[in-house]
Amino acid sequence: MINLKKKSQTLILLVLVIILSINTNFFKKLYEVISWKFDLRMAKKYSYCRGESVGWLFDIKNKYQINDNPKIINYDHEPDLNWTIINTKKLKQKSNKLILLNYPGSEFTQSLYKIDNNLFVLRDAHFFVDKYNKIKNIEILHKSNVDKKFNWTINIYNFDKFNNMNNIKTLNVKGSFDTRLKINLDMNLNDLDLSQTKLYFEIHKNNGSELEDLQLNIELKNKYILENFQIIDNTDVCYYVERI
Amino acid sequence: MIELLQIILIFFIFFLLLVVPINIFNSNLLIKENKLDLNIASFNLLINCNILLLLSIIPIAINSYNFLYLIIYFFYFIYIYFIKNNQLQDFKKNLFFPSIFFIIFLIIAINVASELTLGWDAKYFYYIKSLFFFENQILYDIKKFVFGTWHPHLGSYYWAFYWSLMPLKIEYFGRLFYVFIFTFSLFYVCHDSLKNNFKNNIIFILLVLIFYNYERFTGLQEILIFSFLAILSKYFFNLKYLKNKYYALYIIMGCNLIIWFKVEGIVYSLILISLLNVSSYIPKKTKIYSTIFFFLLVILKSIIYQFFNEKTNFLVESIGHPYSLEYIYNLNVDFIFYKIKLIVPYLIFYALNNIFFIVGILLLLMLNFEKSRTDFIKCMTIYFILNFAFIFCAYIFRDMEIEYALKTTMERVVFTSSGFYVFLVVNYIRNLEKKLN
Repeated sequence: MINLKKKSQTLILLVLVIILSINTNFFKKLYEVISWKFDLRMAKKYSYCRGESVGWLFDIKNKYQINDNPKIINYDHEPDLNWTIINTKKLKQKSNKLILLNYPGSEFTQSLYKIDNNLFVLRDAHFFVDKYNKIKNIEILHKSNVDKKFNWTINIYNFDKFNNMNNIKTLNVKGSFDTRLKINLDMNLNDLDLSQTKLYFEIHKNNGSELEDLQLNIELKNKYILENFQIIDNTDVCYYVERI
Repeated sequence: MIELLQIILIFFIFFLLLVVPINIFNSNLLIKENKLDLNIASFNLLINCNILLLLSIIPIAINSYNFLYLIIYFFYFIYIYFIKNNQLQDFKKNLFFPSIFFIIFLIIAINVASELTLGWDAKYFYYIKSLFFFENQILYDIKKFVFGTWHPHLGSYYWAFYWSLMPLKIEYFGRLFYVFIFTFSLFYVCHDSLKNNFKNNIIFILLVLIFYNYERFTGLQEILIFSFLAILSKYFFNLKYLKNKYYALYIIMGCNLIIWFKVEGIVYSLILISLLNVSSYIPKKTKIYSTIFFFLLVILKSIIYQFFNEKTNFLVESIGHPYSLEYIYNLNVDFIFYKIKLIVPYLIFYALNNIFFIVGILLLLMLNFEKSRTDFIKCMTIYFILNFAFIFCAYIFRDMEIEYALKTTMERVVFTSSGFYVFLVVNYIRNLEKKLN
C-alpha cells in the first residue's frame, strides 16, 4: 500500500515536471543546445541587419578584428549595442570609425503620435538627439483632397522636470493646400532640453473652429551623411564607415 | 553535447556553495532543532556569496584565483563530508534533494542556454561590467566605463566568475548562477528539510511553473534581490520557531549582499533591518549589534566606492541617479499629486500581473484580521507599508519623466518587492490543509 502511494506520488511529480518541460519548450531547446553551436544559436536569436543587427556586428567584428570601440549609431529604437563589440581595455581610445545601423538616408520622416485633433507628440524625443541635427520641416497631411484655405497657429512646446510648460516656438501659418503641406521649421535638436522625452505640437485654427482629421510628420536632418565618410563595409542598411 | 555536460557540471560547482563551509548534516549551529540541514544550506549560500563579494573587491583578476577557489572548495567538501565524517549514507538518504532541485535547474538552464538574449539594462551595464572582470580587469578599472558607476557590481562579478571558470567560455554560464540562486530560494521556501516531501515538491514545481519567465534571467539583477528576499523572509518566520540569534547574523549577511546588487538594494536592506528591530524574538542587545554591524557594512561599501571613483557621493553611486536634493526641494504639491495619479494605476496594473505580490498582499490583509496575529505577520505588514512608501517615494522624488519611468521600471520594482511575499504565500498554502481540518 505504501509502495503504491509512493509510486503514485512519483508519477504525479513526473507529470508536473513534464508539464513544466512542455511549458518551457524544454525538449526543442535541449535539441538546439546539443546540435547547434553557441554562435549559431546567437545569430538565430538576433536579426542580421535589421533591428539590433547583432549578427552583422559580430560578423564585422571578426572580419576586421575591431578592438577600438567605434561608436554605434542605431536608427532603430533598440537597446545599446556597445556590448557586442566593446573592448574593455581600450575604452579611452577614440576611434575614427563609426557603425551606422538601419541607416535611413540623409533625411528621415517621423510621424507624430496623435493625442487629439489638435495635439500631437514626438515620443522618446531624446532618442533622436544623437542621430539627427534638426527638425527641418513639419509635414501636415489631410485625408480629404479638397482645396483648403487655412490660417493656423502651431505651438511647439515641452515640459520641464517640474511639469512647467516651455514654449519653444510659435508659428502662424496661412495659405491653402490640398492633401499635403510642408512648413519650414529649421529647429536645432541640440538646443532643446529633451530630458523629459516628449515634444508637443499643438495646432489651432485662428478662427476658433474645430480642426479636422490631420496627421503630422516631422522631417529630420541626419547628423551623419554618408558622403562625408569612407565606407569600409556595407550590408543593406548597415554601414561600417571611417571619417574622411 | 559539451555545452550540456558543462551545464550539468556547473550545477555541481554551484551545489558546493550549499554544502560548505558548514556541514549541513552535522552542524552545531542549529543542532537542537530538527530539520536543520536546509537552513544550514541557505547559511552556506549566504556565507559563500559574501566570500565572493570580498574577492570581488580585491585588486586581483578573477582568472588568477577562481580555479584555485574551486579546488579549495572541492577538497574542503571531501574533507568535511568524507574524511572527517563519513557521511556518504547521509547523501544517499537525501539524494532526493539534489535530484528534484537538479531537474528544475536543468530545465531552466537549458531554456537560458537556448534563448540567450540579454535584457535592456544588461546590455547597457551588467554584461559590460562582467566583461571587465572576464577580461582580467578588476573592480577599480570599471570607472573607465561610462556607465561604470551606475549600479553596484556584485551581480556582474558573479556572472563573470562562473563565465570564466568553465572550460567553454560562454557568457550564459555566469547567468546560470542566477538560475541556481532562484531555484534554491524557491526550493528553500517550499521545504523544511532535505527529506522528501510530496506536498512541498508539488508546491515547488507549481511555483516554478507559474513564475518562470526567461526575461528574469536576461542578466538583470532583480532576480538576485527577489531570491534573497525570499530566503530572508523565511528567516523572519524561523525567528519564532528556532529562536536562534544566528538568524540575525544571516539576515545582516543577506542585507549586505542586497546592497551590492542594485542601488535600491539599500532601501530593501533598511526595511529588513527595521523589521529585525521590531521583532520580539530577538534580544535587544542583538538588535543593537546587528544594526550597528549593518551600518558599518554600508559605510564600508561607500568607502570602497569612494576609492573606486573619487566622484562618488556618500551612500550613492554618483552619476546615473535620477535623484537630487535640488529636485526634491523644488517639487510642488500639484506636481506630486499629478505623479501620484500616474503611479497608482501603473502600480495596480503591475501588482495584478504579479501573482506573489497581489496574493501576498491579499493574504496579509486577511491574516491581519485574525485574532492571533503572529510576529511574522506583524513583520510582513510593516514590510508592506514601508515597501509601498518606498515605491511612491521612488517615483515622486525621481527626476525623470514620470510616465517613461513608470513604463520602464515599475514592473521590475513590483517583481523585486514580491520576493518577500513568496514565503507568506507558500506557508499559507502548506498550512491550508491543517486549517481546513
